[in-house]
Order: sequence, then structure tokens, then C-alpha cells
Amino acid sequence: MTDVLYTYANPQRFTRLADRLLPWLWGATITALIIGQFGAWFVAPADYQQGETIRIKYIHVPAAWMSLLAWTMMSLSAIGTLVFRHPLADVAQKAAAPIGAAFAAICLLTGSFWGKPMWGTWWVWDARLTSMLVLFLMYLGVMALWRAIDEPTQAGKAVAIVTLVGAINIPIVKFSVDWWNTLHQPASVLRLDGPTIHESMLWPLLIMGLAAGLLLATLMVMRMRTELMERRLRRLALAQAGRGA
Amino acid sequence: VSAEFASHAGYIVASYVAAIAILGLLVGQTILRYRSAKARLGDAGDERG
Repeated sequence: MTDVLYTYANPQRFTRLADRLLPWLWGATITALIIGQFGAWFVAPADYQQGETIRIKYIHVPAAWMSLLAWTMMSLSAIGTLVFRHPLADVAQKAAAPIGAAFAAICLLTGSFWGKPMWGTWWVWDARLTSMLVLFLMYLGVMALWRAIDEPTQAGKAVAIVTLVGAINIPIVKFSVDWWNTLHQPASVLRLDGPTIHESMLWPLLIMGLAAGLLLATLMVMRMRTELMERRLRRLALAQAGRGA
Repeated sequence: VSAEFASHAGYIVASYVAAIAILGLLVGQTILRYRSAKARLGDAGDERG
């Protein structure tokens, strides 16, 4: 595993791999989205309590999973930046933040649209909703920090420290429904004793989760590729300025 | 369209519209930045990226 990480530590090797992978990743993402949405609308039944509003869950739940996964990936990349000085680690950190923020925003908005008809309120300050809002704000904070520091390596180190401190919120979001008395229902898929929802609803949800994961991976690779090109452009501009001076 | 669906259609449609809008912005911005960086590298005479 370490060998693989160091093999692709070379940005040029990563660039070649990314160029080959991207068309396949886009194809797999779109295919999984189509199958997942077909399942969500035409295979999964309406819920006996929630009725048709259950359709919102097929975007809300995968978005929640991806917002947690993106910060987890940023935390692993932060370790790569601070401990292993992996040259792609801070690039991955920077690429993941806006994607995680987008998924967190979708999770909060769709949760609100589901909450109004089901709970009778758009929002409650319970532990799950509040910790997810904190996660969204942390994404915005990290993105602001990237913009505040010009030099990418320095920015990467500062962001890595903030990311690792913020990682404490990930288990809080996940287990908030078990640790505290919340209006938000407990987990029904990612449980130690197995999923508690019917398989007719489970498989479209899992395929939508796969589609969201593929979208996360596709956008990560594309944004990392872009960041590497922008850093190359920055180096070229600096070299040109150096020659001109 | 069932009466039950119709009564909650606004919430369901709003959820999908919000998700599509946010993902559309993210995907669009990602593609535009990628293309722009690639074009500028090409202009700079560096095709490697």
C-alpha cells in the first residue's frame, strides 16, 4: 500500500493516470446515477409512514455519507501532508473541500425539505442537525483558509492542522443519534447489526450511495488535476518574472 | 399522480432542484477551471500539465 502511495507521489505519473481514468469515472458516475434514480422512483415503494417523501432520502442520505467521507479523506491527506510530506496530499485536501461542502449543503437543504412535512419544522437544534451544520461551516472555513494564504505548501500545512482538529466532529455527526436524544432518527443502513430498511428501498439507496461516491472520486481527480496545472502555471509565471528581473 | 404525492410534491421537487443546482454549480465550476488551466498551459507552451 505504501509502495502504491509513493509510486503515485510523482505528480506527472498521477496526471497521466488521471487523464486515462477520467472518461471512465464520468461514465460510471452517470450510469450509477441513472440506475440509482430509476430504482429510487420506479422500484422503491412509498414508505408506510413517510409516504412519497421517502424519495428525498435517496439524495439526502448519500449526500450525508459523502460529506463525512470527504472530511475523512481530507484528514488522511492531512496526515500525508504533515507526516509523510506526500506531494499530492495537500492537493487532495484542497480538491476535497468544495466537494464536501456541496454535499453537506445538499444534506442540510434536503433534510430541511423532508423535515417540514414529516416533523412539522424546517430545523431543530438537535445534535445531528447541529453537528452537520458545524461540518458545513468547517468546510467553508477550510476553503477560506486556502484562499487566505498565497503559498500552497504553507496553506496546505495550516489547513492540515485545522482539518485534523476538525476531524473530531466526524464521529460526533455519525454517533450523535446514539449518544444523545435527537429528533433525527437513528442510523438504518450503516449499523453493526445490519440495515433495518427493506431491501426494495435499500438497493436503490446503496446504488445512489455508489453514484455519489463515484461523483466524489471523479470531481476529486479532476480538481486535483486542475490544481497541479495551476501550480505549474504559477511556477512558470514565477520563472518568467525571475528572468525578467 | 396520487393525492399523497401531490400534497408533498413541492418538498420533493424543491429537494431535487436544490441538489441539482448545487451539483450543477460544482460540476460546472470544476469543468470550467480544468479547461481554463489546460488552455493556459497550452498557451504557455507546456502541454504536460
